[in-house]
Amino acid sequence: MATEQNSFASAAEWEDIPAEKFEIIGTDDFSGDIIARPKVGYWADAWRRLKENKIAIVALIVLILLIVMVAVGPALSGYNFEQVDTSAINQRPSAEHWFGTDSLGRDLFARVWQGGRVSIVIGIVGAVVASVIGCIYGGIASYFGGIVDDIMMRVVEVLLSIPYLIIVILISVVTDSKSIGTMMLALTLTGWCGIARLVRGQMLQLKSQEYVLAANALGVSPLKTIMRHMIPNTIGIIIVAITFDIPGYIFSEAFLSYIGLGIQPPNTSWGALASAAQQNFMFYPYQLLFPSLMIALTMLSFTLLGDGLRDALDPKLRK
Amino acid sequence: MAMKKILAALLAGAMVLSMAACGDDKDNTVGSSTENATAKTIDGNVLDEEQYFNGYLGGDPTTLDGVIGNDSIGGSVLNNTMEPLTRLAEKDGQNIREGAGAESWESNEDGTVWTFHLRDNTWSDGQPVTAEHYAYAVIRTLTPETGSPNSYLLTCIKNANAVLAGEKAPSELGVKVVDDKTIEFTLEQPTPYFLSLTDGRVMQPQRQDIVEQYGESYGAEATNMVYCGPFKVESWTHNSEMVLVKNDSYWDKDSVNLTTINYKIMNDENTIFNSFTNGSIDSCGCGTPEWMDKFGSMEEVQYIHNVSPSVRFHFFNTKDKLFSNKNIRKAFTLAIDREDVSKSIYFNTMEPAYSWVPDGVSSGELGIYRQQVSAPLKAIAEKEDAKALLLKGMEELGLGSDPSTLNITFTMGDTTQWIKNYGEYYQQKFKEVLGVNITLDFNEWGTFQSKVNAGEYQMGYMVWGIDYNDPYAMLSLMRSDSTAIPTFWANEEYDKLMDAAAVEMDEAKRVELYEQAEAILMEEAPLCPVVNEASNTYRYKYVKNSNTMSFTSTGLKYAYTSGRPD
Amino acid sequence: MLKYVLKRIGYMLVTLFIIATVTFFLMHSIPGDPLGAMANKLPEQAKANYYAKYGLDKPLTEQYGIFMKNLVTKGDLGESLKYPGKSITETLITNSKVSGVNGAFALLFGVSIGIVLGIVAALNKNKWPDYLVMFVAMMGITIPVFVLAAMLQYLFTVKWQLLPTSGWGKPKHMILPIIAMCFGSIATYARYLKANMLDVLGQDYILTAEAKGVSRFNVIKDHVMKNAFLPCITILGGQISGIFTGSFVIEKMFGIPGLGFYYVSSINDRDYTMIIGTTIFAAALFVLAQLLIDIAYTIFDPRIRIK
Repeated sequence: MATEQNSFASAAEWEDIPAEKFEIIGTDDFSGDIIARPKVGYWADAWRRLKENKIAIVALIVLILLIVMVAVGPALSGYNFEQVDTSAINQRPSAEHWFGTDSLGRDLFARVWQGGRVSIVIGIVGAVVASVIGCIYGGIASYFGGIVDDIMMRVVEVLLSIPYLIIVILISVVTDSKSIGTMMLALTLTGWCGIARLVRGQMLQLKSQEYVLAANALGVSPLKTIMRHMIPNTIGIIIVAITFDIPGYIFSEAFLSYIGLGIQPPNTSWGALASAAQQNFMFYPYQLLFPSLMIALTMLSFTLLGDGLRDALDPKLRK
Repeated sequence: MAMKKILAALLAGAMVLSMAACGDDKDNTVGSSTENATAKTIDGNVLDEEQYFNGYLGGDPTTLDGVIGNDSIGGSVLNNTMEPLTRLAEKDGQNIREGAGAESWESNEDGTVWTFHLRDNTWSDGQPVTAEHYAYAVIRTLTPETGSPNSYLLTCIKNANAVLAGEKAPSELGVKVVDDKTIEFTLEQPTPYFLSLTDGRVMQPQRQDIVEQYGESYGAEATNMVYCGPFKVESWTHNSEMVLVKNDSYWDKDSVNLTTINYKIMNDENTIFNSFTNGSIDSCGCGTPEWMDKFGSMEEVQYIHNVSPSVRFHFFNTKDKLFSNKNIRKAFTLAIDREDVSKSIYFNTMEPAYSWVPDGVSSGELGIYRQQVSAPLKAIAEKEDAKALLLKGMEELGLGSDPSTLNITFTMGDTTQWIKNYGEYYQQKFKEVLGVNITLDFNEWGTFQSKVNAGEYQMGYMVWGIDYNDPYAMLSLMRSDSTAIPTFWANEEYDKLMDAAAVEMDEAKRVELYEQAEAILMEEAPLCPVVNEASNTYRYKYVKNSNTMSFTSTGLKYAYTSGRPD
Repeated sequence: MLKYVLKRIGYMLVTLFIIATVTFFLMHSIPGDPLGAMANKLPEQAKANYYAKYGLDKPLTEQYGIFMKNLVTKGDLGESLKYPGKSITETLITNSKVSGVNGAFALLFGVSIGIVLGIVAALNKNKWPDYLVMFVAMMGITIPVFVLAAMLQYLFTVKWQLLPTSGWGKPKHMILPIIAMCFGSIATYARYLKANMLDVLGQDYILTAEAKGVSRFNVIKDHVMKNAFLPCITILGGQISGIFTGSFVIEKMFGIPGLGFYYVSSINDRDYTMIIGTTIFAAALFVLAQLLIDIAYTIFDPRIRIK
């Protein structure tokens, strides 16, 4: 009530202001469009927020270090990773052999990094391939919907319910090889199913969102809707899924190595090194320590980075 | 000294007291304290009051049906729970054949008819063991519908092959029940090694009524069986544990000391070694040098080293262009430094092998064959050179004189870490000695089999454990009509020698035939023995009278413990 | 609801039928031999007799017909080739029970500890308890289980001699396997619950509740918990089918007669019938768990209704 009285009072005062105190300054055609803050793109914003997350950045640095070591490490110690030396078996870490030697006298430093190549390649390539296939598959299923979706999801269900061990063994037997390629094929053959489901679910959810509805109502072409709205809103969870899947593939490879179906010599992997050393870890703990440490570091880094990315890429958390 | 005596007296007193205490506890269940007071002694060892053995099985027995199963794990259980016709006992480092189910036996002059006189024994359900039961098991093994994997061991019996092929009725087999206590085997031809089959599972009796009652599931569970050996299976938790208890209906139960045998079923080596270290099992086999050192340093542990009648060898595909050449095969045979393999790969847990017939195999009553015939490969290695042989062979094949142009695939039927190291070792050594390139090919066992059987390989690796205690068991594998080791090698002279040896009842002459055959085999080199397996057993010293030799088949019948710590 | 469930069960049966068929033909297309290591020793005649006994000499389509008929009419998956006289169906039941008991305890401990840790972490975000909890939780998923199990075994059974190395049947046998197995679950649930809780804590209805003056405890109890737990149903459902099929590594190392060990060894032994049986069993559990998850959602989540 008081304010009303006040405004009446001020209205009365207007008459007292002389007209010459007013000046026409015209209209500003642009200032309405100026955005107070500089425009920040989706990726730039994500990167900015990722940078704020110290843990994620440390994880990223560790990962980069690991990848660099894996790339150059095998050449650093001066030993070939498959060079057998029966005069230097099971040696402790020393100036000569930085990580020690294994039961055939091979230099573990070279072997650990060489093995890292296989493990990391399997992890990254496996997860990326699975994601690409999963995205396309899930995208198609959710886009067409109806009977197509039904059939495609049934296929996924069948594939998911076959234990992957069977598939790995079948593939290695059918293709008669146990190369990295074969193992990757076997691991990704059903590995994409999870991502496909995830993408489909996300897409379906987005389809019914108001802004997509609005875009449709405004006559925006389906392609543009997908590019502009669906993908940016899905890509975050896909990237997060990839970072969480990579350790999964590394672990799967380790398990396969443990049961003797993993990578074959002369090549090696962290899983193969760890499972070989596990037999004798009481006597040569360092043989188990290094590959296990690398697995742990990789797992930890990818998981923490994934956590950071999830927070950074979630459009809902954008400020 | 005096101190020691007092201590001993005190200890003895304490023991008597504790025994009495135990006796009181158990008065209403077993025995009485007076029985316990007069503790039994064997060879000066006072038996522990509680007689039990904690062992392990390296996997779940496939079945305890001795006719259907043929795994060594099930075999060791059956050996303790069933009574074959004879057993090989140990005496002063020699294997002595003693009567088990049979009290005595004899053969006719040319060794074609064998008669066994059974002793009085009783099944665990109270029925007497008769000749009928022994005959039934043999006939069942040889009946085609049974599909027994052991039938090949009994093909020496008259008409066995025809019956297995379905051409003759099982009633025409050379197995005759003379009376309840007498069984007679008629053989196809004189078979010098026939007796060595009689302590195996093919000569353990089976009860027709029980087998038919349980049908397919006979032997699949502990309760689906009756037993006639020193022990019977009390419980069997698949893949976990099996408990054997003393069989009180056994004819020789007074010689049986153990009342319980606890078998843990363990598949993991580390688990086994850990269990042995902490004393949860009394005995374990071990081939890992680090663990061997550890066990070897344990004072309370006894080490038993034995050459097993089992050969690890490489074999060549003689249909392959390269390995059709004898000199090349020999080159690859001689390129191996067996002493170094034994040291570097097996850490001296296996013995270098210079012959196809392993050490420890006996030739009838003459004793160990290898002690009579020296290993042929040693002599060959002394006068010939691997690299020269290779070049000679390459020239014969028109392959030039540069070994580095050769690329050979080495096929193996395993994918473990160990075999990988094994393959890599040879990859390097063949390169060093012969200058050839080796591609390693690791397979699942099944794939390996299909490959080698189809001749899709160049050089392979296998292990062969002998089937019965006679050189014939090894040498006959390389006859041209045997498919056991698919080298596709055929040699007429070798076949003739084997034919002659198979019926030669004169043991000295037989050894001569074996010697000639083995010499041909090593000279032609379709396969190359690398090492003989050896068993390294570690056993706590309180376990006494347990077997130490490979062919001994008394199991734990005579075993007991003395001085087991609480 | 009933119509929906019936439809889902229909799908389930089709899925299982396809899996049974595919596995059957795939397994029989693998080179190798169920006679395994002994096959080379046996003369042709003995092999032929053996195959005839198990019907392996018949044409594949006929074998398939027999197999399907037994499966559909009697629920009979046949007899193991490696372990003569052992019924697959019975083996599956006995062994999955063992794996189930072990796995259920591991999951129970894993989930409970994981949830508690997750809550602690979420409520103390970016403070030391959060970091501590997450560090512990992470340890569990960064070490391969065969390494973890080997270390536990060494420490507890050899070094300190507190527990038996292997065996089954007594509570003390279950301690180490459960510890080794539940580590993974702890990490999964702690991380998952923390993320969900933070997500829910940022929702408008929490703000509303707090604005209305509801105590923090009650907000968490009534609003946060239920909504944060819901997504856990999905992973829980996925793991429930897994506990019955067991863990190969753990079962092998601790001598537990579960299904996981049988499964992997049957693959190595080419025990066709056993592989097919286990695959069908695992698949059936999986699809059943999926159905249960979906039903659970419709019951617990008011936002989801069956159309």
